[in-house]
Amino acid sequence: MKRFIFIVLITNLSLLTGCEVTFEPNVRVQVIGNLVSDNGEPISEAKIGVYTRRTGGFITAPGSTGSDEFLLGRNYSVQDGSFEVNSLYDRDSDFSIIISNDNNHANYIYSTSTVNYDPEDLTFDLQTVTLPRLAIINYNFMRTSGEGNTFEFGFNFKDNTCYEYFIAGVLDASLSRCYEDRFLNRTLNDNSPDVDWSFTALYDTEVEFTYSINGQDPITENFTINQDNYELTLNY
Amino acid sequence: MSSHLIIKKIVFCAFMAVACGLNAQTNDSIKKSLETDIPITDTRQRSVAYSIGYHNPIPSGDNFIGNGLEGNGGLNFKFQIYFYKQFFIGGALGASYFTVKNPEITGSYKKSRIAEQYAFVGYEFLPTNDLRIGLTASVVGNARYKNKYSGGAFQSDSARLQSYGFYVTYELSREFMLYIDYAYRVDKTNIAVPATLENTFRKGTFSQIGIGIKFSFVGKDFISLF
Repeated sequence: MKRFIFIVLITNLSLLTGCEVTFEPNVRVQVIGNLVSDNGEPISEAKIGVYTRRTGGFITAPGSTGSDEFLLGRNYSVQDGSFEVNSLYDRDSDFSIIISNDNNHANYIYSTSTVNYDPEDLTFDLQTVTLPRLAIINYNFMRTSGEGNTFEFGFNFKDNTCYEYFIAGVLDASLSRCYEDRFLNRTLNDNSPDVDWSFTALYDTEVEFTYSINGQDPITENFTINQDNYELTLNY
Repeated sequence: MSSHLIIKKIVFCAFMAVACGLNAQTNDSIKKSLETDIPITDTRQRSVAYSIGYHNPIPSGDNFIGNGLEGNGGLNFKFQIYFYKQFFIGGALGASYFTVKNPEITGSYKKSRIAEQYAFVGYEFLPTNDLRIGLTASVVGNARYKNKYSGGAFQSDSARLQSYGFYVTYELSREFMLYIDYAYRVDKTNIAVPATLENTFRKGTFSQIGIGIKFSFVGKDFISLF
């Protein structure tokens, strides 16, 4: 009986603290490539991170996904846009290389399964990655008409991330999604009459702005992104 | 059986031998020589010595240790058996601790602990009555790197190690000494890397500068026992 209680206690403790997380021993991989903007200029100081996911215990991963993300390697692109990242390695169905660049350019995610796959010469060669420029759209909507008035609005625009999934080094388009349509909408009312917020949108794409005051017929305005910043101010 | 276990067993067995047998023999020989008023022909001859020390690892060289890590202390336990006069063989167990100063080179982890175990040979010079200068070189040994994240996750690497060093001990008594030592470490790693990273990861080098205390047992060398 004592032995049974002991086993139950140990099992519960293990569940709470999660399993020990270890990564592939005695291996380093390298990620190389070149970053170019959609206007042809090299992108420097972009952050390139290599990530893996692991299922954790209740304490280590209380989130809905039940998994933790671990950074295995990180570096930045240099002046000519080239980059080299030395990284640890892991067997993971969602092994990812994420390129991000502080709202100046779109994000890029290279994802693959490394459960049964090693890249040739342990090198992930992303070759030339072209990233569209981003514009920041700031919007500031303020109620000046008094209580009881509502304002509904929405933006249709392209997402700022390109996610590509590779199987054994070959792009699988069906599992990839790049710059998909996004819709952002909100209603301003007595509970929250004002908003001052922003989002990013790709250069040379169209943003559709739709709004309606007090449930009237919606009004739609389109504009093409061709500058770094937009300020949308509207009082209702 | 891995060389890990072999070295550990050698160290353990030799330590037990010291604790259980040679100590008694040593005391007897001193007592005997004192009683007969015959100077021990070599009162400075030792049969066995063991030491506990602290060291600071100092990364060096154009490799992942030299460019990527920063030393953060270490501990070691060594012992040596004098098999013929001042020639000795021995074993060492220890660990060196590092913080990662350049994860762009090593990969993204915070700290590294290198556990080391090796067998060595050496020779001891006796320049004055209370000093000993020893030269040592490893014969076989290995190292295990435990590369740690902050959240308890880790990754491990392994290497065959070579260690070359010297020490200077000061005898406070026949059995008790203080020492300083220096060793140069070359770890030939087992890390699989892309061709472009071969030069960075194929080997790691660092120095160890340490201090410690050493206990020895006056007595005949190992060959003279038979």
